[in-house]
Amino acid sequence: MAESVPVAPQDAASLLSVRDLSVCFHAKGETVHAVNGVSFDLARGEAIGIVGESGSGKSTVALAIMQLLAPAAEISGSHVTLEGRDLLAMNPRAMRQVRGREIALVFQDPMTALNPVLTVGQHMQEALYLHEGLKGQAAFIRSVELLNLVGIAAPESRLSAYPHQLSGGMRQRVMIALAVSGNPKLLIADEPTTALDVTIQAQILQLLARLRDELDMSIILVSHDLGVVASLSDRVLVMYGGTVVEDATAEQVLLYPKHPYTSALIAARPEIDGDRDVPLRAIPGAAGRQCEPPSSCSFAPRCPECMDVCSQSLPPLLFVNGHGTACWKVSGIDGERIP
Amino acid sequence: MARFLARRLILAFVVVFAVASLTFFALNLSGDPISNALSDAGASEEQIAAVRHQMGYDRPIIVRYADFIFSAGRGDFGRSIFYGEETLPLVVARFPYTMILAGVAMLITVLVAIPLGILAATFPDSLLDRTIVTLAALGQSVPIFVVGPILILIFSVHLAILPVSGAESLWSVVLPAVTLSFYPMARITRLLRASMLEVTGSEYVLTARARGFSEFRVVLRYISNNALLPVLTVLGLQLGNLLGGAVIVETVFAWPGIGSLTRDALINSDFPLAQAAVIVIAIAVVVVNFLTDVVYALVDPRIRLS
Repeated sequence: MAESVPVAPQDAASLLSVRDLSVCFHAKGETVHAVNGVSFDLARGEAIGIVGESGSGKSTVALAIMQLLAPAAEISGSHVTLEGRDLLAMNPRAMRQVRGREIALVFQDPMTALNPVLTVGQHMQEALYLHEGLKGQAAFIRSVELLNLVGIAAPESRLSAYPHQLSGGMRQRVMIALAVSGNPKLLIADEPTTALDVTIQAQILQLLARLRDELDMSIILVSHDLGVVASLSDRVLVMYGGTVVEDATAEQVLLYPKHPYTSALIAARPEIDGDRDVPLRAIPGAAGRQCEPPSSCSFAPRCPECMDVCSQSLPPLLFVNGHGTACWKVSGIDGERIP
Repeated sequence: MARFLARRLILAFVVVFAVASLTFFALNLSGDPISNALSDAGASEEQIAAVRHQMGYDRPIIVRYADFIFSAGRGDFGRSIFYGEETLPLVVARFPYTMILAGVAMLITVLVAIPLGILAATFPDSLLDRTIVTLAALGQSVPIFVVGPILILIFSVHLAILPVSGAESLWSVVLPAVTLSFYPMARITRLLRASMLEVTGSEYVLTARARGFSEFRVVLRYISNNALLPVLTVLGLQLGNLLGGAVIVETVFAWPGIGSLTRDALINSDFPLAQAAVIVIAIAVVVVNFLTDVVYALVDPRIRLS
């Protein structure tokens, strides 16, 4: 067995470094711990995927990096550094300079993510003026360029269209064009294909992969769909209950999952040519809300391989040959002594 | 566009025709205007019958209805029983007063309600927000005939800075207009607040923030802009209400508008005058609603006039 290390491998060329990120929401006298001690590094040009079910905290991680969480959210005891600058310590003005120019965001539903009363052209002009100071003819030319870049045919004629006049895939392309208008170093895509048809999904993922190469962007892809994430990402973080339970290459996660949750997630995927009489293998139980910071494995109540230690002590994320897992079963009982 | 206009025009005719017919039957089935008017004056049965015959009120109601509709179609709304003059000029002479009153009330509504709504929604659940929401609930629930006299007591009687009633000076419009604006003001404030909160939670606002826009720009171009759309519709409806529904305020403040004219016509059993007034109000409401739809289509690209 190779040596176990308690932190993610450090990368000298790291663009984004997230260390021990925790987010809790305070509402009506109740505190919900949405994200608990998430750490990862993202290199320049690298794409990582964050996978998890609803409520696993994956979108919260994305919004925390952008500092766009609701006022009820509290980020505690953590560092989020972009090229060495701590984003969490920035004032709102400096953070606005980061948004759009250095980190851009694409959301799930392009139906609702564009302002319904502004045309595509108005959206583009606004963003280009803010990020590049472009106006008039220069902004028009750049808009056409950007729409071409994201694969919109006849871009000149699309500039005068309102969002409701475009198809879902087209709207998502516009969203991506807007996102890359500020030449960001990092694109965070939060469920960018969930609201789209499967054929359009593949096109959008291809587009993101192409833009990543052409524009030398890093990408964080957030999705509930392992397949979507694996197709684009170099590395995949599997989240459960606000913690990273597995952190490895896409291949390792898909083919050699170590954490019981990841295995269950892969087993739960319906096969397109599967026997219809065989019921889908859902994971029994449901992810609970966490009103306390976790003191044991969050997946223990639903885990088929749960041991006594699992419901007593929180397993640390330990890396073996670059494959990180937070599981007592994987690290062995003696892993108890490591943290 | 042409089809839209044609359809709206036909619809407008149907609405005005229906209002005219309902008003006619409601009034004419309620009694005989001639005996109402003349018996108090001590006229004999013969005299009343003679006047009734002379004015055509002895004909069957269906015949009178047909006569009323055909004459009205030619712009002839008959003679006032009380004044003995053509009714339409009487009504038209009063209409500017109602328009001024409604216009000033609308202006006050917009000037007060929009900033209050935006303020309340910008600081939700703050003390300011709660105060505004409470005042708005109060404004919506206190009847106009309570608000009017209270304002008169404060500003005309105690402070003596504004006229009690009438329309002698420019200042006369202030109290009735403020009274009239209470309900729409409260309604618009609450609507705008709710609408803004809804838009604030929308994804395109989050996206705008993620794009690095300043908070000012986000509130102005992404939140207020979109939140004002439903407000526009209600403003149009309220303006229609103000044009037709100022009867109580015009009576309390003796404002010589179409509302007090209608009220007097009803008290005097002056059916032709009341009918003419109601039809003019109906036309005004139809026109305002039409204009609201046109403006809405101009500002919201999702709405097409078709």
